[in-house]
Amino acid sequence: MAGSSTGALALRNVAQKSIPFSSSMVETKQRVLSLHRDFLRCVPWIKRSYKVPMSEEKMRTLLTAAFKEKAAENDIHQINRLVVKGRMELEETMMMWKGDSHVISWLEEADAKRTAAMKSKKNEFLDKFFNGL
Amino acid sequence: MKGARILKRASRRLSSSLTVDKATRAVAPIGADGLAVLPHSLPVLNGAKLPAVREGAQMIEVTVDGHAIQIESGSSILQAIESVGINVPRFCFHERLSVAGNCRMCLVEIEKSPKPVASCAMPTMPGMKIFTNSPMVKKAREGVMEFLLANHPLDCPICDQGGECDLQDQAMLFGSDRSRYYEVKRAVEDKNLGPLVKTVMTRCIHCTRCVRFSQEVAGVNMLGTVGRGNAMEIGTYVGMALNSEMSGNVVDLCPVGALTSKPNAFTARAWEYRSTSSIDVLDGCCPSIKVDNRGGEVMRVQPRTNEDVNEEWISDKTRYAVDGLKRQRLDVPLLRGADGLLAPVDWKTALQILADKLRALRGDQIGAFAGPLVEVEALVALKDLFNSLGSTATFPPTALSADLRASYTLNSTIAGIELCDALLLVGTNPRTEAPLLNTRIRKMVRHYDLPVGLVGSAVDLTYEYSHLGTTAAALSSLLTPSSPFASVLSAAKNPAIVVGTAALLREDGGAIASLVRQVAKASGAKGFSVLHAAAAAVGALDVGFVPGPSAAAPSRLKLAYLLGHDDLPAASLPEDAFVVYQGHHGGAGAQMADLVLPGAAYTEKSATYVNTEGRVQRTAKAVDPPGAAREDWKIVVGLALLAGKPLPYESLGALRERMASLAPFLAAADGEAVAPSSAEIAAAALGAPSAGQPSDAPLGVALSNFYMSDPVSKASPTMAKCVQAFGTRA
Repeated sequence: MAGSSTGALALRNVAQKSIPFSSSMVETKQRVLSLHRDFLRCVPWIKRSYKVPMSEEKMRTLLTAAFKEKAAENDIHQINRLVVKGRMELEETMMMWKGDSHVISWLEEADAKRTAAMKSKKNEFLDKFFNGL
Repeated sequence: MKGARILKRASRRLSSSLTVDKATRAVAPIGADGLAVLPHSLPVLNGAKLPAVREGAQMIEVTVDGHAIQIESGSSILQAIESVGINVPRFCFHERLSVAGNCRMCLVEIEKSPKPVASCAMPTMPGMKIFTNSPMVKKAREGVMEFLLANHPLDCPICDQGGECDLQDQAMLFGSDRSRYYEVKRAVEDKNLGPLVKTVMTRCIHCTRCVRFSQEVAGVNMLGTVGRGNAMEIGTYVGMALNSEMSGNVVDLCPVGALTSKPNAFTARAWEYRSTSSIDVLDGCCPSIKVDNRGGEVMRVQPRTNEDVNEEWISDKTRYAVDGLKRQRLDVPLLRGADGLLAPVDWKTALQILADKLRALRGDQIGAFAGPLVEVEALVALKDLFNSLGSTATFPPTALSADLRASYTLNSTIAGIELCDALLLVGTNPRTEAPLLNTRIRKMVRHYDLPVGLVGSAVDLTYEYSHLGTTAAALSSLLTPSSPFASVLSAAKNPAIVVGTAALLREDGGAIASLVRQVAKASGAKGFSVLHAAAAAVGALDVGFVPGPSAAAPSRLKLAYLLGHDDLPAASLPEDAFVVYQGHHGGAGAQMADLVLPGAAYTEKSATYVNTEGRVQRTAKAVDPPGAAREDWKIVVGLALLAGKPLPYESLGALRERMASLAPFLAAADGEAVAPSSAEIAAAALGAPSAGQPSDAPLGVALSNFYMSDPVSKASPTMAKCVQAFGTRA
C-alpha cells in the first residue's frame, strides 16, 4: 500500500498544508472534503502499519464522526485552522512519526465517546415519533 | 415431399371456404406452402403454474399451430390453447363461470372444419389440428369485432371502463382499422341495480357473464336476459336492485363499461391509479386485494386472485367500504378537558399524560381491550407493555381459549371446505360472516349436492340446507342416530363442522363447544372449525393476547386501554376509569374515551393479520396515515419509553422477530400455507372435558349488520346506502 498512491497522497498532503488560507467558503469546502477523503483512503494503510485492532469500516466511521463533530463550525478562519491541523495529523500518521499506541488510543477514545453519545441519545425513537418520521 | 403435398392440399381446403382478401393476407405472412407462417416456439408460460393433471385423467394429443401437445381428454379447445401460453381473445368465457359460447370472439380454425369454431365451447378430439393465427381466424375475429362494435357506443372518453376495457383492448388488437357502419346504433334504457353497480346498458355486448355470475356464484336469480336478437336486454326481472353481498364482482366481470362501479363513477381513470397488493381485514377470511390510490387517497379496491382464500371474488363490504377510510378519521391526539369535550393536544402531551397515569397505577388497575381490526404487531407490543407493567388483563376481540390452536381456527381451511362431503353449520351465517366461504359452499352444493345442515337462526343462505333447529337442543338430537342429518354426517367420509363465534361467545359457550365436540366425535369428523368474523381474532389468540388467571375484571379497572375496540359497554367500566382509545375512526370507543390516540388503518401500514383458518398474511402500505396519526405499534413503543418500561424493540423488524419468538409461524407472513394442526392435536381438542348444560336460548349470528360491522364500514357512506337498499342482512 505504501506504493505510488501513498506517495502521491503524501505529496498532495504537503502541498495542501502549504495553503494557509482559502478565502471563500466554496474553496474551503473542497479542502475539507479532500482532507476527509484522504483520511478515508489511508485507513487500510493505517490499520496495517499501526496494527489497529479494529475493522476498517469502524475506523472510517470514527474518522467521519470526528469530521461530523465540527460540522456546525461556520467561521472560515476556524475551518482553515482545522484543515491545516488535520493535514498535519495525516502527515504525522503517514510518515510513521506516531507510535502504534498514539493512533490506537485516539481511535479507542473516539469509539468510547461515540458509544457514550449513542447511549445518551435514548429518545431517538421518540424524537422521530413526535416529528412524524 | 409427400407430406408437403398433403399439407398444401389441406391448406387449400381450409382457405377455400373463406375468401381471404389481400389486406388480411398481408397481416399474416403466408409461406410458400400456402400456410400462415407460425412462430417457431410456443410462448412460455411466464411463471404461471401449469394446471395439475388430475389423477387418472386420460391424455390425448392435439396440435396447436403445428406443435403437438398433450391435454386432458375432455378439455375444451380453449383450454388446450391456453395450456401452452397462447392467448385467445374472449368476452363471454370466464374460467369460473359456465360456458355460454355466445360472444364468438374465441373462434379458431380446426383442420377439416368448414367454419371456424368457438374454442371455449368445443371439446378437443384426439389428433385435432388447431390454428390460432391463420388468415381465417384473423378474418373471423375482425368480423366478430365489427358486429360487436356495430351497436357499441363510441363513448370511451366518458366511459369509466376506458383504459381497462376488454372491448377497447381487443378492438385495438384484432379489430379492423375503420368502420363500414353508417346506420343508427341501438340504444337501451339503463337499469337501476342499486347503490353499487352503475349501468349504461347501451354499452352491453350481451356476454351474459353478469347473469351467469349472479345465478351460479352469488346465488341470486335476479339478473336475466329479456328479448332476443337485437332486442335482447340484460336486467333484473321486475326492476329490482341486484340484491347480493357479492354484487360488486359483476363490475370486474363486465368486459365493457356496461356495469361500472357507482361509488367511483367519474372519479379517476385506470391509468391514474397506483396499485398496492394487500389484504383486506374487514372480514375474517382476509381476502387478497389490490388497493388503488391516487394522490394519497384510496380510490378503490379490487380482488387479487388467490385460490386458497377468495378465488377472484370479494364481498361488497371489502370492495366498497373503503370510502369510510376518508370519513370520521382520528388525525390528531385528543384529550378530554375540564369542560368534558375532547380537545386536540400534541403527541408529547398525550403520551406523557398516559405514561404518568400508567406509572401511578398498579398492575391490577389497568387493562387492555383489542378490537376487530388490530394487527398482530400492535397486539404484541401492547401485551408486552402491559405485562411489564404487571397486568395480564389483556382482553382479545373474541374471548376463546388460546390453549390449542386447533380449537379456535377454521381447521377445514377455506379451500378445504370443497373437500368435505357433509357440512354442519352451528350458530353462524356464513353469508355475512364469511361471504367467500359461503360462495365455496354454494359451489359445492350446486355441483356436488353437498348436504348442509344448520343449527341456529334460519338465515337466508344462497343454497338449500336442512334447518335442524334454533337451539342447542338440535345439537343434542344429532347425537341420536335416528336423526336424519346425524346419519348423513356419519355416512360422510369427510364431514366438516363449522361453528360461528356467536355460539361460542355466549355465557354457555363452553357447553355448546363440548356438544359440538361430541357431535364431531360421533360423526367421525377429525375436528371442528371455528368461523371468525373479525380479522384480529386468530392473531390475538395466537400471540396469547388473552387475560391471565389473575387478570382484573373490567369493573375494577382504573385505566382501560381500548385498542381499536368500539363495542365495550360503558357500564362495564367504573365511572371514574380513565379510558384511552387508540384507533383510526371516531366511533363509540373514541366517544367514551378521555384520551384518543390516532392510529393507522389497514391501508396505511404494513401489518400482519392471521385469518380465520390461521393463514398469516400482511397488508401493504398504500397511503400515509392522515394528519398526525401514527402506526399503532409505534404509539405503544413510544408510550413504553415514556412510561419507563422500554420494550426491547424499536423497529418493525425487531418487533417481528419478537412475534416470531412467540409464535414461529408468524415469521413467514407470505400467506402461502396454513400450518395444519396434527391429527393428535385435533383429537386432543375434541377430548376437552364437557362443561355444563347449554341454555335454551336460540343461537344467533355474529354480525347484526353485514354492511356496518367495523369502524371502517360504519363510517362508509356507500355502506349506509347499502343498508338503506338491502337492509342489514342479519
